[in-house]
Amino acid sequence: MRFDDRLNGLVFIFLGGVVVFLAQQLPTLTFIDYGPGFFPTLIGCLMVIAGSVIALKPLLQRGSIIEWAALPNAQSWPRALGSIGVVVGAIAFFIMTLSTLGFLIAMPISLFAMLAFFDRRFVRDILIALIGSALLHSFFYQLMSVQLPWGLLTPYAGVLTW
Amino acid sequence: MVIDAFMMLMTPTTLGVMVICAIYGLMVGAIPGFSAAMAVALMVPVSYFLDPVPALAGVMTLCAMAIFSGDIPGALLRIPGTPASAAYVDESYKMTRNGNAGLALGTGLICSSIGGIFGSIALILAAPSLGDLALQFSSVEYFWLACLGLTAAIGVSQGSAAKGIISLCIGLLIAFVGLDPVSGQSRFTFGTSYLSGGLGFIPVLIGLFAMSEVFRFALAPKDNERPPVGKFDGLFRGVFGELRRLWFQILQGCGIGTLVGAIPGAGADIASYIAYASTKKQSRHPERFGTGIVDGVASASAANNASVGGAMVPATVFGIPGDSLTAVIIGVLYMKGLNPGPTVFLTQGTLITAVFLAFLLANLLIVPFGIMAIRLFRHILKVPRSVLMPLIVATCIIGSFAVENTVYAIVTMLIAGLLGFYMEENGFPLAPAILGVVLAPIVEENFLNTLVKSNGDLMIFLSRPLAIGLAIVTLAIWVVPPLIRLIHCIKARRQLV
Repeated sequence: MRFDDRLNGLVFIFLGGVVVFLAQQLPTLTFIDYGPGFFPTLIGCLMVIAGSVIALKPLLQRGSIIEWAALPNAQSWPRALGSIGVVVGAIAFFIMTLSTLGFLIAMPISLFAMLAFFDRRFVRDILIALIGSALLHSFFYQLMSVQLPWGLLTPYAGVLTW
Repeated sequence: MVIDAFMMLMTPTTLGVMVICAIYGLMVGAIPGFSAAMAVALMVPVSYFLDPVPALAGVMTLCAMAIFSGDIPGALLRIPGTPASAAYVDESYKMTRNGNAGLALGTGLICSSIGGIFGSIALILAAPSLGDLALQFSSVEYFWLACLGLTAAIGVSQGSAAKGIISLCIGLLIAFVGLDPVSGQSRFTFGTSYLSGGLGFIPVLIGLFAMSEVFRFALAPKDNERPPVGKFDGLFRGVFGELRRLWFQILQGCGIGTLVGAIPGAGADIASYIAYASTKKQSRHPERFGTGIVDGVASASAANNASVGGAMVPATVFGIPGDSLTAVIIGVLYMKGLNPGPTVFLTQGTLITAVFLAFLLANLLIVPFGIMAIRLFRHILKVPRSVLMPLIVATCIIGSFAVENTVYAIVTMLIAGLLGFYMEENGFPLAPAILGVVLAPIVEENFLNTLVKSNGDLMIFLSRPLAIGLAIVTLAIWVVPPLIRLIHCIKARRQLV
């Protein structure tokens, strides 16, 4: 997913400007003129300069904009965004449902959603999602003592641990 | 101290962790597109829960194995498993096409081990001596040293320098989120309590290196289907004869790798490119390079493994990472309470020696484990990426959550993943960003603490001979290349007139 460098440059000029603005709101130290805002201001300015170089380089080379954004292998935008959206959506689902559903329900659903989209062999995908989640849970919860939420399965927590 | 350190390694837990990490590192390194830094990033959450010695021994083993196993898909598929193998991938693949895959892989394996051992010995010998010198450093020298690290990170990053600077700025900004280390003032937290503690290093790391790879796969899943594997037999056939013939080139590769690795910003990939080019330049038959001869493979594979040991020298002595891989290792060292710097040799000498010895041992283990990995490569490659990638996402999620025990860490990982994906797709190198994350606190703390000591007098930064030397080198890297370009431009215009 390549964007035209003029666009990339503009993004970083804007971002650098925002950083400088926010850094200017920070106070300085009591006895010296430098404080928590000094380095962020410096970095923001550097970002604006580097962003300008990136944006201006294609302009100086007098190239015309063929397209603002391009995808590898002439893919369609809906398909490309959909593929990335599935991964983002699966993670977002996990984040939002972890405490309610618990790891052992949220993870297999998220994992299956991704497997079903990319692999499309549903029986195998269900098995991988279930076994994969159980193995990850066993490793991190049982061996590494990570406090993974049980959610809906809290009453069965004792039965499901070894 | 060395015997004590060795005994710390010889425990069933440490050896067991090293064996598991060796297998994991060989598998991840052998999968095209996955880097050694990504392998370590995914391992970090596990190492968080281990004792320091097994955790660090495991990480060092993982690095050594992943860098070697990148040679395997390079020789058999013409796809480098890790960027460190990219320099000689054409050469080794042509050897496979000529029926010499066994020779290419066997030479690569032995030379990787030799390079790694050379790098480890250099690390064991050089680091404590440099540590004595570094004890004389004050916050002024540390400030310039960190600036030098940041500068070199941009200087050696491939592609546009402006994009390298942007990448570095992104890394620094990530590190600036949270409480200011000197005044305790909140920065860029937008009133969120989660951001007050700063963005977690591990979720950022996992996002930048592992999730970005998943997004790249998601964008073009069909590009990632399994290619046909080249055939090979007779591993080690003719290898030892070639090793005797190429002993000088291998030794030179070891030296180049160790030195290049020690330069902040230059990693295993650059080391192997330089070693390959140097061997070609000195060869009596440079025209045969690129047609499938073993000479370049031998020196370059020694160089990339030696560079890890070289990169660990500034990483442990000064806390300045040589490349993104050592930046990750520094993160693990901090996490395990082994704060890099000259005092680590005084306060935790046995522990740091144990880490170095673990790296030496890992490089000895490359040979038996490497043979196993070469034999099993076809099976490793049989796992479809459409299955592997969702499982990696699951590991990224749980890895981020495990360290901070909050879903905000997963959000951080996701955003860092999207950022890493955007950066790589648009030619912004990732290495300066991760170096920025690691070096930002060092630069800022040393700068502000020095100014507080001098009541705001900036001349203190040029008050000591060592500091002046470091400042000149740092400023020269910024000023000299554009100056040379400008002179060339003026000369070219004059010639046109």
